[in-house]
Amino acid sequence: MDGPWGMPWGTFLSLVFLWMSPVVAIIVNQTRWWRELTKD
Amino acid sequence: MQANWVTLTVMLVYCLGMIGIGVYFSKRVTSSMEFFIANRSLGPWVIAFSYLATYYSTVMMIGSPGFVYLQGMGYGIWAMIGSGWLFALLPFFYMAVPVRKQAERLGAYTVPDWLGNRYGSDAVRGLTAILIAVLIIPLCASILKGTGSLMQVLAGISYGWGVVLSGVVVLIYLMLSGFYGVCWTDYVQAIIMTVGLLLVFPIALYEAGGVSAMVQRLKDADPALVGIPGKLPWGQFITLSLIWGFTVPGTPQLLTRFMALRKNSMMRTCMIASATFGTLMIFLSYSNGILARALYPTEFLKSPDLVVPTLVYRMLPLWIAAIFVSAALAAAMSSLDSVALVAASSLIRDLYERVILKDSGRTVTERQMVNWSRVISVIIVGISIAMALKPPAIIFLLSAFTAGTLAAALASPVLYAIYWKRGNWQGALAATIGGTTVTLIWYIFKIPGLHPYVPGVITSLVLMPVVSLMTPAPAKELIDLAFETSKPAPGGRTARATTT
Repeated sequence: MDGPWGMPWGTFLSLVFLWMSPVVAIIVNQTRWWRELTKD
Repeated sequence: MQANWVTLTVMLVYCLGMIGIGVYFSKRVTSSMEFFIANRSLGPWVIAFSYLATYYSTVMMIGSPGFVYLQGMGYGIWAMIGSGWLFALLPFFYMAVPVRKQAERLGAYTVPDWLGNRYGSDAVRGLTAILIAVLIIPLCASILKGTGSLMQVLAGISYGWGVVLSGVVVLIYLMLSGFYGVCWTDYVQAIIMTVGLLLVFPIALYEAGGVSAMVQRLKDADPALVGIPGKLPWGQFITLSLIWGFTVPGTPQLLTRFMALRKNSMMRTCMIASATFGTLMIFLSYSNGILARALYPTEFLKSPDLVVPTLVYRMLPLWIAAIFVSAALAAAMSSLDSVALVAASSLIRDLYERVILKDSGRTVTERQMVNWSRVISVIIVGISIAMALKPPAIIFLLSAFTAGTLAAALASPVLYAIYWKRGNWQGALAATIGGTTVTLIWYIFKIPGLHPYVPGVITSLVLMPVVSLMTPAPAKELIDLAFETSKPAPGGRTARATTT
């Protein structure tokens, strides 16, 4: 069965995964590990 | 002819703007540290955009969308993932901060300088510098060849004038302002690339009838165009879409961006900017290939490189098409300036200053070093222009595998330098030589199955620990200095705790 816009589900989920890159960047930026690593 | 004059006018305005940036920053350059790394003074947005513009060349705007046109949507999206995740985001987690910190503590401002100081070895420094210089000059010529062809097709000027115009513009701002000019022009070039791509995408999507209609058109042309792995076998699909994202640790012109950031904390903004705009740019660019396949299912199967230029000129008003052409030119120039500067720094800073001058016992002033750096930059770009104008066959044979070979040679010494204290100069030398040799053999004999970078980098990653463990451990004071357990090198300039 096709997913949104008639795409196969694998293709659609890959597209979603692609756009998770900036989201992950914003989330990691809030973590203590990253704040500690990038301390001046 | 009208198309040519509009395009040419927009391109000339763009070129004058780039030279203007070079003139503006020229007064700041008073030392080789400023010429090669802008005195570690650049902010997060400039570094992030320069990082993106350096990696994204004309291939990203013209060649790769052509390949996506052939392979379809599933491949296109995974090639975007290779770039958006493996290039634009993950290197900030696993290497950007340690590279920046270590280079600063060791007083290094080029990659051979950093590796030479980290491993306490002029042999590592010299070999890395020679490899970079030898492999990057053909790459410069290859980029210029692409630029000449681009301007010939899109602006209607001769190939030779296209090569000379783009080469001379890069030469002027590179010579005047060094890394300042390179990064600030990259910054503007990345913005032009994003604007150019943003102008094309919505119009092409509208012409295709929206996302659903585009997908349906692709299915009608060939159902394999919308699926994963689509028209490719799984092995090739994964390798081709993701491989270049893994080459960042071995790409000196990218590592230098991390070293030039003013403060560690700026890496936070830098990472978010890179991940966001890197994903956006690659998405817009590769989508052109997908949309073009929906719009022209069979027209460009034999000439995929023409698909994006044709799409742009058929869809867009002339002046917008001219901006897109300038964006493609910007993509080429932003890569050319960075690689030319890396080659110049390897010859001047690492071979001339740190090896030849040291051995002869002579000293030179900072002003002399800057002048020599400018002369070498002129020579490198000049040789590249000459090669691109009348290309010897060997140059393009070489340029086909320079990026992969260099990445395989340097990735392992770079990664072990920041993560493994036991790694020593003998291991680094073995890894560099082994990685280079295996990659070259794979390329030359065209061994099928794997991209040559993969066996090269695996060899290098294995050789480094094996040889390091068979030979003496590096000096404790060197490791303390590199891994922040002692005070940094005096003045951030010299860090020669031990040498071979």
